[in-house]
Amino acid sequence: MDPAHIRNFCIIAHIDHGKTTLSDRLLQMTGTILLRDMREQLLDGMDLERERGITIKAHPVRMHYKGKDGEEYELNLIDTPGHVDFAYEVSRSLSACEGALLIVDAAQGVEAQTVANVHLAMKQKLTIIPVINKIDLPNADVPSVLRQIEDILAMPAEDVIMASAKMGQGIEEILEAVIKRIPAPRSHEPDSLRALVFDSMFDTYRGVVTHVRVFDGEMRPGTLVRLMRSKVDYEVKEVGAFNPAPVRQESLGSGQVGYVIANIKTTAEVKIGDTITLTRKPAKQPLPGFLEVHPMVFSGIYPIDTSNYEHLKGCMGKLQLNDSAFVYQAESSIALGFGFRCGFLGLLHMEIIQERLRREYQQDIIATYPSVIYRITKTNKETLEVDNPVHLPDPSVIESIEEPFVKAFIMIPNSEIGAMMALVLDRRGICHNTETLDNRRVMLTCEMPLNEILVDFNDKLKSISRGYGSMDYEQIGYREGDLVKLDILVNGEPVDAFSCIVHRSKAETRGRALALRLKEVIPSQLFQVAIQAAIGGKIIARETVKAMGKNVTAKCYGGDITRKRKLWEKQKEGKKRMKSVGTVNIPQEAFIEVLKTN
Amino acid sequence: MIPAMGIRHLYIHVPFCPHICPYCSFHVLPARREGARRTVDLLIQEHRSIAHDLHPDTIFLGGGTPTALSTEMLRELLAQVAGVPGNPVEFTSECNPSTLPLPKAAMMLSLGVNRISIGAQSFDSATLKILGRTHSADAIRACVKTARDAGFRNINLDLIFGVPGQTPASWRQTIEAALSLKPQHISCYGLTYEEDTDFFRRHQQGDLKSDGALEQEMFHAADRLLTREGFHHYEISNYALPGFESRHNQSYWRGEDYYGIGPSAVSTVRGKRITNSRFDGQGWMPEPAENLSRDTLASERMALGLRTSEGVDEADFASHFGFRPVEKWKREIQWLIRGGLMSDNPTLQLTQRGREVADEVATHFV
Repeated sequence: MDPAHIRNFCIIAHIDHGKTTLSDRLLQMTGTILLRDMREQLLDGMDLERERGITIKAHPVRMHYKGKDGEEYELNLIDTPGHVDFAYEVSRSLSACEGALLIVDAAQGVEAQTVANVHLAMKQKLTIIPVINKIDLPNADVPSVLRQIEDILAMPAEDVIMASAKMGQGIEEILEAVIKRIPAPRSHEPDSLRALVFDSMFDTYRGVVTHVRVFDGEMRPGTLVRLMRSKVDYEVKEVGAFNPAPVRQESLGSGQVGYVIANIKTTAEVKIGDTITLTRKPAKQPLPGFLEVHPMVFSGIYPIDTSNYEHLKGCMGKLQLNDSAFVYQAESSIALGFGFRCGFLGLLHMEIIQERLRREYQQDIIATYPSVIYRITKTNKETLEVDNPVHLPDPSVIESIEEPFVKAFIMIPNSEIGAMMALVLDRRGICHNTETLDNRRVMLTCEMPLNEILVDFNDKLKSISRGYGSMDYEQIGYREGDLVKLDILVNGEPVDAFSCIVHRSKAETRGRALALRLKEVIPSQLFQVAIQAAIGGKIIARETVKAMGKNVTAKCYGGDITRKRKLWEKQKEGKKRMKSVGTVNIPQEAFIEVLKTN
Repeated sequence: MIPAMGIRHLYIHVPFCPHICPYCSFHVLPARREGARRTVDLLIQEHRSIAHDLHPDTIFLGGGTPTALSTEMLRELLAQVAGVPGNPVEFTSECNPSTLPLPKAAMMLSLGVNRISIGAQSFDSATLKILGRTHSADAIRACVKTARDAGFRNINLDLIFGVPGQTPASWRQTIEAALSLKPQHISCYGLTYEEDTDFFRRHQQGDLKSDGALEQEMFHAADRLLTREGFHHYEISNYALPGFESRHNQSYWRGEDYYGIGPSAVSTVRGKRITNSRFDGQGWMPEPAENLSRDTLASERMALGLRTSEGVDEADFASHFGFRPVEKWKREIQWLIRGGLMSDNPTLQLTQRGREVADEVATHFV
């Protein structure tokens, strides 16, 4: 294909603003799929994605379109993950494109996620085509949304296309804008091969399927290629494009988007952002923008039943095959036995992995309190990074602790600004800027410790704004904080899974709240249970779970025995689902409640 | 003398009651003549079918209310039962305070019944009312007198504690009232909200409330008041004057074999447990047998034996099951002993605290 007739683009949109419906319409209009084959939300493959209305994995789709100019075009739609946890993946997907469609809901207006992703796209110098979708809605407020696009995103109103993906309105105009406004791909180093890896997936039968955008040169089966960062060579077995089902092609040439299959065994070998080049004639420079992705959020994941350790390990391996951003390594906890320390890109990523382990792999797991990476400077000037409170050195040898901060964009209804600022303040945040978006919403720009938004910040935000608020964030580096480790002891034994690092000003309140909450969720046992909260070894709160009252069957005669035995067996099973720490059985719920107590 | 062969314990279930109590989960039907006739015929038939394998030391006629049957029908049933060889040293019949006229009691005694168990429940009218009982404290007194006049010398009173609204004081008064009637045996049952009862639903809905601490207090009060009067607390819910322990019930707790006849009755014979279906208007049938493995029987022996004051004798246990309890449950036993819930001297048994949480303890052995 002549690169002049290729257009590569993606779609930027907030959840529910209609990205998926619009994508489906584009596929339909270009005849890529027939109406009757259309499954709702075709691009989002995983159930979990569909449920949460987010895309975790992107599939590029190739469409053929005959423009009004009479020319045939090849359009590649690269779907992007919607959430900033996957900011790096988003940035790689964006850099595989020359343009982006920006979808804004005519009733909801610009959202935090939209702003964050538009900033990313602008940094990549993409041509952005703004689209107001859902103009058919009775509560659509087009003039106000137009103003927001001009004011917040700094795009001229006359560039905006009006559409209703649901009604099929504006679709042709969008396709025409794609071929007219988005530049054709250009080659910079035509003598060699340079293809950007922007995603990879694991297929049980074919191994790793790598999604690529070819910038320079050409690739076909038999080509010997090299991953420039990993410095590993492979022979290309197959190339193709998604139509939307994978279709083999003879070659992938300059400007094209598609997939490559070589004998790559795990997705970990193919780093997103790496450049594929020719083994025999490597390119001078790899494509820019490669980063090693590092997890930001860590949590321990343990099997409830310790005998499931090996099985859980297998499941983690399978998850990682498809998600190289997820990292795990074996660790052991005094309270929980053998398990794994897992690293995630962010909160959503963590929730998704935990949820997939539970649902897709039916694993009964306990996830410990999440942690960020703290930078510790010891009194002897030695520095170390700690992602698990258990490994925090003794306070006497710590000179300072630094924690990661984020810049958060929070959009909320005007009426809730007071409550929201109070929440930000409570989370040790500072609001730098308040911007009026329209007559009902404002955007707060704040700086906050990542640690403070790890657990329930988003839930609180949703409840304050009665579901209308949204938030996004980006990392802005490390700052020193007065941080301490809070421990929880059960019958005198510290339960490491309950430990967390918190700001000193909050440690005592949190310790008290935690001890009280645990008292409520730990059922009474044969013996009394003491729950204590301690800061640096000093007990600051104590609660007692009283020993069990009466638990005895009154009548136990000939006719009752089988039934009673089954009852005892059931009670015993119930206890198996609890984690026994020393002589105390702690229900799964307790580990979840800890996350909720703030 | 050659020991007699055959199963030594027999339970007979008579599924009729003049009135059905809202807390009772046993298989009971309102007493109606036709159903009763058919039931008695079938009970006699079922008894005949097992008679060759029966040599009872103890018989327990329960239900329901066996005395809800007419004197004539009850006589027919007892005549069949008495016609089988055996040496029933203990032959109990349950009754309600209002279902034991003197002629019926005399007839029962003449056909071998030698122990009467009266469903007294309480001497407090408010408690009786909540329990849905229609009798009065005076009816209990009259019933005991009738039994005694008829010649019964072994009388049990069933009492219930932990009833909503019941106070520790009223519970103590009930115990005192029971003691004043000089029974040989008293059962004190903590009220249990059994599934499929009206009480269960009302408890679920929060309409009836239980109070663990209060129940605990009443459990202790019973132990204190009754042992002071010479009663032996020989099982969690049972107290007896020395020599009047229920041998029939002890046989269950010792893991001995027993036949049960009648609808919903259970037999445990030579490693098989068979439960009869409920009475469907026509009759009842044995349901598929449960094969009890050695491990299951051993677990049951522990859970039930621990409930009694005689406890589980390790050597006796080993002779039945081929291993001593400590070999299988070393960690559990050590832990329970250390926690003051169990003792192992001279047999394995629960302490007073252990008895309060006997079900929790039992989960360690199943």
